[in-house]
Amino acid sequence: MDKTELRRKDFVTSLLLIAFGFFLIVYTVSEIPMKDSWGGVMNVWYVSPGLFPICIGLLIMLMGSILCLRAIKDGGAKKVLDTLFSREKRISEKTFRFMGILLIIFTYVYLYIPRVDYFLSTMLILMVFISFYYLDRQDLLKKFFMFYLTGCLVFLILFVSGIDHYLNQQFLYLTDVLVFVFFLIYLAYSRILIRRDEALRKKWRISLLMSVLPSLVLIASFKYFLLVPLPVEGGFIEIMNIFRYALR
Amino acid sequence: MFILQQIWDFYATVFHTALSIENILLLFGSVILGITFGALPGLTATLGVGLLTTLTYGFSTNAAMITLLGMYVGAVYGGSYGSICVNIPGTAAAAATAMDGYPLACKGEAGRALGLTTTASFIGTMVGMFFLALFAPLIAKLALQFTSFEFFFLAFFGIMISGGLTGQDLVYKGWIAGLIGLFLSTIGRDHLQFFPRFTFGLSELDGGLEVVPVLIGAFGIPQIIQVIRDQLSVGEAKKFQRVLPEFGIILRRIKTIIRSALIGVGIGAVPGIGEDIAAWVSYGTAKKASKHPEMFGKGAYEGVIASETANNACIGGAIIPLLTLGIPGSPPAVMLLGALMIHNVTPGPMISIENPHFIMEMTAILCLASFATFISGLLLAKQVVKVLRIPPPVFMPIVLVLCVIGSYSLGTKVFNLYLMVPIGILAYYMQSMGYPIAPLVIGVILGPMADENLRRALMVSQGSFLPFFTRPVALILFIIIVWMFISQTPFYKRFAGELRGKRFKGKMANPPTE
Repeated sequence: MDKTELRRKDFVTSLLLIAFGFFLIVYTVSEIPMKDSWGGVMNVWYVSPGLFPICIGLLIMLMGSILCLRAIKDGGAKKVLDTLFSREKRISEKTFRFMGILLIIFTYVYLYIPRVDYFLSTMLILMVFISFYYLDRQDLLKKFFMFYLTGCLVFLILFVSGIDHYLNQQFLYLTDVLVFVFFLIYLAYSRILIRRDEALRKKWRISLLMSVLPSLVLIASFKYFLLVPLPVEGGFIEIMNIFRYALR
Repeated sequence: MFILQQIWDFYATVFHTALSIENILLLFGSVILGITFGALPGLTATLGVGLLTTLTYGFSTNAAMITLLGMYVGAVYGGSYGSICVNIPGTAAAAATAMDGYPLACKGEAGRALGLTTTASFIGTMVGMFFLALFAPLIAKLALQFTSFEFFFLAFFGIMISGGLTGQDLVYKGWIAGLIGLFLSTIGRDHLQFFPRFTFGLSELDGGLEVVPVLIGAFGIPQIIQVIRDQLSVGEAKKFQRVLPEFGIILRRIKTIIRSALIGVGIGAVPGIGEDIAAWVSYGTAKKASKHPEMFGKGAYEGVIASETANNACIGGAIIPLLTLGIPGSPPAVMLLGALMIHNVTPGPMISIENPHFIMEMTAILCLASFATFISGLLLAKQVVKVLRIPPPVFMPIVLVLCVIGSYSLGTKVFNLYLMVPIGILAYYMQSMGYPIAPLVIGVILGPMADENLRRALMVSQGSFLPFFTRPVALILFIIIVWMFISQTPFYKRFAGELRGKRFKGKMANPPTE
C-alpha cells in the first residue's frame, strides 16, 4: 500500500482510536465502581477493577493522538478530504474477491452453523468457496456470488421470521432438506455455466470431491474419534450415526 | 544434585517417549504434518500449532506436547521447501532462505539445498534445545524472586518490545495492537473481585474471551483472506533427485552455524518476535561477515545455512521465556501457551515447583522432534514437495473449516465462533494497515498478568507507586520501557540525529591515522 493511502487510513483509524479510548474511560468511570462497595468488599481506587481499563483507555487515546499527528503531517488528513468529495467509486477485482470471502465466512458462521446440519453446512460452504476461487474467472465469480447471495437471503428470511421452526415441526429436518436442495441447485447452476469448457469441468469435479470428502473425514473424526458434539446434528449426521452404529 | 536430576529427567523422557510406539507415531505424524503445513504457501507454523491444539485437548500433557512441538519444529523447517522449489516461502520464517535457496535450485542443486536446510535446521533446533536446558531452570529460579511489581512491568515490557520490533510501518502501531489486545483481555469478570467488565449483559462474556478461538481468529482468518484475495499462485516445482545430509559443507561453515544459532536463540528469547526476524537478522549478519558478500542472492550456501539455522534455533529460544515467565517468545509459542493452559500447566516461575520435571520434558521432546524432522526431511522430501501442486483455493477453504471446528470444539460453544470471526476480520484490517498481530495476541495473553499484578502491587504498597522505583529489577524494566517510548519521539530522533552529525563532523575534522 502506498504511503499517502496508508496515512489516509491512519488518520481515520486514529480518530476511531481516540473515540474508542474515550469510550473506555467514560464506560469504566460510569459502570465500574472505583470506591464503592462491591460484594461486601469496600473498594479503594488502587484495587478497583476499573483501574486497568482506565489506564488502557488513556494510553489508547495517547497513541491515537500521536498517530493522528503523524497522519496529518504526512498528508493523510488532506487525502481524506480529497477522497470524501471524489466521485470515483469502483469495486476492484480484489475487493470483490474479498467481499466473496466475507460473504462465505459470515453465512457459514452466523447463518448455517447455528441452524443447519453441520455436515451439510460445511459441504455447502466448501463447494461454494472452492468453486468461487478455484475456477478463477471473474465473470463466473460474479454470477456465483449473486446466486449464492440470493439463496442466503431466502434462508435469512426463513430463519429470521421463524418459518424454519414451523417447517421442522411439520416434517423433521425439512430445513436441512431445503438447504440440501439449494446445494444441488448450486451444483447444477455452476455446472451449466461451465458446460463448454473441459478444463473448468475438471476443476468443478475436483471442487465437488473436495467439498464432500473433507467434510466427511473431518466431521467423522471430530464426532466419533474426539467425541465432540457438533453444533447442529440434523438429518445427515443422523444418517452417519446409523452407518456408524451399524458398522460397530 | 540439581544438575544430575535435570539430566536424569531429560534422558528419562527421551527413553520413555522413544520406547512407546504411540508416542513415536504421534511424533513422526505431527512432524510430517508440520513439514507439509510449512511447505504449503499461506499456511504458517502458528496456524498449524493452533489448529492442532484443538485436536490434542483429549491427550495427556506429554502426548499433546509431543504433537505440538513436532508440528512447530516440522513447520518451521518445512517452510524451506516452498522457498527452494518454487521461490514462494512456505512460512515467513523461510523467506530469507528463498534468497539463495531458489537460485541454487535453478542451478540444479535443489537436492543439495534441501540437504543443507535439513542439516542446518537439525543443528539449529539442537542448539536451541541446549540453551533451553541450560537457561530455563536458572531463569525460573531467578524469577521466583520477582514480585507483583516486577511482573507488572515484565508483562508491559513484553507487549512494548513485541510491538516495537514487529511493527512494519510505525513502531507505535505495534503498541496500539498490544493495547487493543490488553483491552480484549479485560472483557469478562476480573480475577480479583469478579466484577463483570465490558460484558454488556451477555452471560457468555462473563468468563472472558477464550484464548484459543481468539488466537485462531487472529492468525487464521487474515491468512485465508489474504491468500485468496491476492490470488497467490504456485509455479512448477524444481526437480531434484535425492536429499542427503550435507555435514561436509556445514562443517566448513561452522562459524556461520554458531553465529546464526546464537542469533536465533537470542531473538527467540525476546517476547513476541518470531522465526522470520531471526532468519533475516542472521542472513544479514552472515552476508556482512562473508568474504564473498556478492555471492549472496545468487546461490550462496552460507545464506541458506544462516537463515535455516537461526529460524530453528529460535524455537528453543522462544520456549525459554514461555516456560519461565509465562511470556511467549514467538507467535507459535503463543499457541503453545494456549495449549499449556488447556492442559492445566501454568507457565511461569512457579513451574519449577508445581511441575519440577516439565522443563526437561519439553527439552527432551524438542530433541526428539529435531531428530524426527531430520529423518523425515531426508526420507520424505520428494513426497512432501508434491503438496506444492495443490492450489491455494482448494486447501484454504479446508483451513477455514478447520479454524471453525477447532475454535468450536474446545468449549463446544457456537459463541466462540461469533467472537472468532470479528476478531479475525479486525486482525485482517489491522494487518493490511501495517499493525502487527503478534502484540495483539500477546496483549490478550499477558493482560490478566498485568492487570492483577498492578492492583496486587498497589494493594501491598497501600496505593504508593514508590516500590515500583525502589526495587532494582522493576526500576530497570521501567527505564527500558520509558526509553523505548522516548526513543520514538521526534524530539529524541532529532537529538540523536544531531549527535550523530556532530560525531561524523568530528571524525572528518580529525581523520584516524595509521
